[in-house]
Amino acid sequence: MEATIRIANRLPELSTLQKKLTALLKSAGASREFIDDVLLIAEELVTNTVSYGYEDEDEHHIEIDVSLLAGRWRFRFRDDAGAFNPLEAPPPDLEASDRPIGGLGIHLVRELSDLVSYERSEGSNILTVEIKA
Amino acid sequence: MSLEIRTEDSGTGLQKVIPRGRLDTNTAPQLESVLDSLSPARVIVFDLNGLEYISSAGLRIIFKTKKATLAAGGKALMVNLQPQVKKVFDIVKALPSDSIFTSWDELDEYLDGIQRRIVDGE
Repeated sequence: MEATIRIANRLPELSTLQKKLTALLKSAGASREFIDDVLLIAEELVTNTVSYGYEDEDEHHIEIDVSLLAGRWRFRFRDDAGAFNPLEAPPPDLEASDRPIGGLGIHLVRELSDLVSYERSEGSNILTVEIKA
Repeated sequence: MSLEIRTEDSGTGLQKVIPRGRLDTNTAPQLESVLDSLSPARVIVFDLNGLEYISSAGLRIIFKTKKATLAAGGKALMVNLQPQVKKVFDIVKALPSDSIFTSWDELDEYLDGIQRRIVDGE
């Protein structure tokens, strides 16, 4: 199974992405719980990129390659925003009495994935998330 | 992928917020504006029975409410967490256990306890 979903860098596009991912995963027989994990990962990553990634007001595109190979789902998020590796952000201090407001999204992404990696290639940020099916 | 929010005011200090659907980046502002109209000096109970999904955007609103009630002498409590919501709260070790209740019975018992302490002047 291989597919690519392409959206513009606008927050309302998130619901398009959620619908397409849901349809794709459902057709592959994924459970509701698994689908929600993936939707959460996608929402956190795309929201970050759309909200903080671009310095201009132009339209950009974010591509998500989805594949299922040998029992592993792979989601590859590619954008042309400024170089940013979210995995370098320090983990939120969850024990602090004053709850952190930032850093929760990427923490959720890490916790729900089996493997997350980042590379900067040819002007693109590429974040790859793998999850066992 | 939408969110509906109902509120109920018991008049006795308890404000219920009942969101149904999905609380994400795009729907979180709806909840935020509802909460802005409530008093942080009283008890706010989130009945999450109909909430299927929450993301960090939703968590932020709930933490903000928790903080505001704490500062104003109120309380923010949660009841009836569904599986995805519970999972997300667990991952971020979201709230002390005395803020989350599995049922209204459990929550009522807790609120009765507070009431008694007030009446007894403790």
